[in-house]
Amino acid sequence: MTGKLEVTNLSYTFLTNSARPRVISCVLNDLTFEVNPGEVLGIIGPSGCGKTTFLNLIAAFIPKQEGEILLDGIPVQKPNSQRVMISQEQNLFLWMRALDNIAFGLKAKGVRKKERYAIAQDYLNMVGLGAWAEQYPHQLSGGMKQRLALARALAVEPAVMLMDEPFGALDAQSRKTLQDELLRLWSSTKPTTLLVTHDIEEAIYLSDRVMVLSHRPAAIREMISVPLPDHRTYGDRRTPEFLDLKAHIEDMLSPRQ
Amino acid sequence: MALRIIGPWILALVLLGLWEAAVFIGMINKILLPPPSDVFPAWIDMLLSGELLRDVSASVKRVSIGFSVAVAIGVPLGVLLNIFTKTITDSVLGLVNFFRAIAPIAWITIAIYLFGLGDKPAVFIVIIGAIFPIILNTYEGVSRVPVSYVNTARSLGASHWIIIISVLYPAALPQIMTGLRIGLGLAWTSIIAAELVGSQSGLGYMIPTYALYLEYDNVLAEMMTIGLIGLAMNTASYWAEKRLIPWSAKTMGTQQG
Repeated sequence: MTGKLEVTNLSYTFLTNSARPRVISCVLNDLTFEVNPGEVLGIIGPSGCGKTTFLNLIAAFIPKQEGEILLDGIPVQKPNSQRVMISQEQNLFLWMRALDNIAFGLKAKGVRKKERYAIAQDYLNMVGLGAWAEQYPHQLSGGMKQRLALARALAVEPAVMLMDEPFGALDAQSRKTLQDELLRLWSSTKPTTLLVTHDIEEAIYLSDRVMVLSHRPAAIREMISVPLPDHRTYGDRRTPEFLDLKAHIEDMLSPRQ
Repeated sequence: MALRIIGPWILALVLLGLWEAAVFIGMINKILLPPPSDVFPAWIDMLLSGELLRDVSASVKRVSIGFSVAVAIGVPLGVLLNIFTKTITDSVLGLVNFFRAIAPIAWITIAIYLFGLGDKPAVFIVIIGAIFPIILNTYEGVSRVPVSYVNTARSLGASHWIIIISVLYPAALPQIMTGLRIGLGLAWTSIIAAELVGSQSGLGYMIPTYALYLEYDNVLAEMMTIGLIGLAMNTASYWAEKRLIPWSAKTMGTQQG
């Protein structure tokens, strides 16, 4: 099984964009951790602590400065379909119909036309958008757009999924529905996942482990294994283990700490 | 709604009425500026005799060729300016802004020297007139495509080539279309100017010719024709824009949830 992510001594600093760069602020401070194949790591921390920068580094959207990022033992260098990002803004291609949005990544992979549309339709069905293949993104609701972005990412079969506040723009109800949807999708194929979120409940409910980061420059404050069964159900949110862990993380993130 | 459609026609009729009245009460010289009641019969005569069609087709042919060349060069160049190094891009943009400041008709002596008489110099003037707004709007449109789209495409595994064709170009298409519409308008004004000086046919050429014989009703009929064709081109551009950009919420108008 592939998708083992090893991060070693990762630090990142914002520099001025000049011939002699000066330090603006240090964002990440010496992060070291591993994520096992198929594991979901929730990442939680104070606002502006550098979580998005962190995901951008793993995706290789921005160049690494210090430290090492290995995927299955190979250093991460350029963005590719092994590591797919899903963010709050979805970044759906507005000029493509739903089906073409999903087929895009498959085309890039060199999948033949007939096959890629068949696969794309499968993924659309999987997220419950089977009947919306011909619609443009602006014709879909917020929750549907997020499902589409999810299907597009899963369709390229990434080793790692990078999720940056994926449900941040949704109302509470759609958010809960999509969380359960995600658990359902993961029961068939589950890439290694890094899930950045502000929502403590979401982090616990969806993750195998939760990494709590400190204020900027972000360092690891605590790595917590979630004491819930692999197969989660909505009722797990009301168990004492869940509520204790939630309270514990809330305390850690509260400003007084 | 009905008023929105007939409004412009009412305004046009009012202006024609004022013009007619001004001639009738002797405010305007009837010979030098004939009233609509003289111009319309002249217009009908020219239409029936085939003169008008001959002039229109000569001008439209030149504009079609020149505009097509301007699009074929301007759009790819505008896209590429986003990919070249900053030094090359800045140099080319400097040149574009230099030449843009020179009215297209100023090129007429050079155009005749280069291409002799006939269609070619006029086509050249049309290209000069249309190409700059096309280059600049395409460049701007592409440069404003959010970097998150490009990152998304990269993380889905897309090559540079696929990103240019399937992401940058369609994302910029609304502004590219604006450039084409402005370019077409300038192409049309440029061709008339070019024909006034350097052609033996076309709407522009016939204006001083009719004036020489004091046929001012024909001069005005030609001018009206120029305006009407320009108006039709503009309307057609908007229509084409709607057809070519079906994903825009503006053109579809069916936003959900």
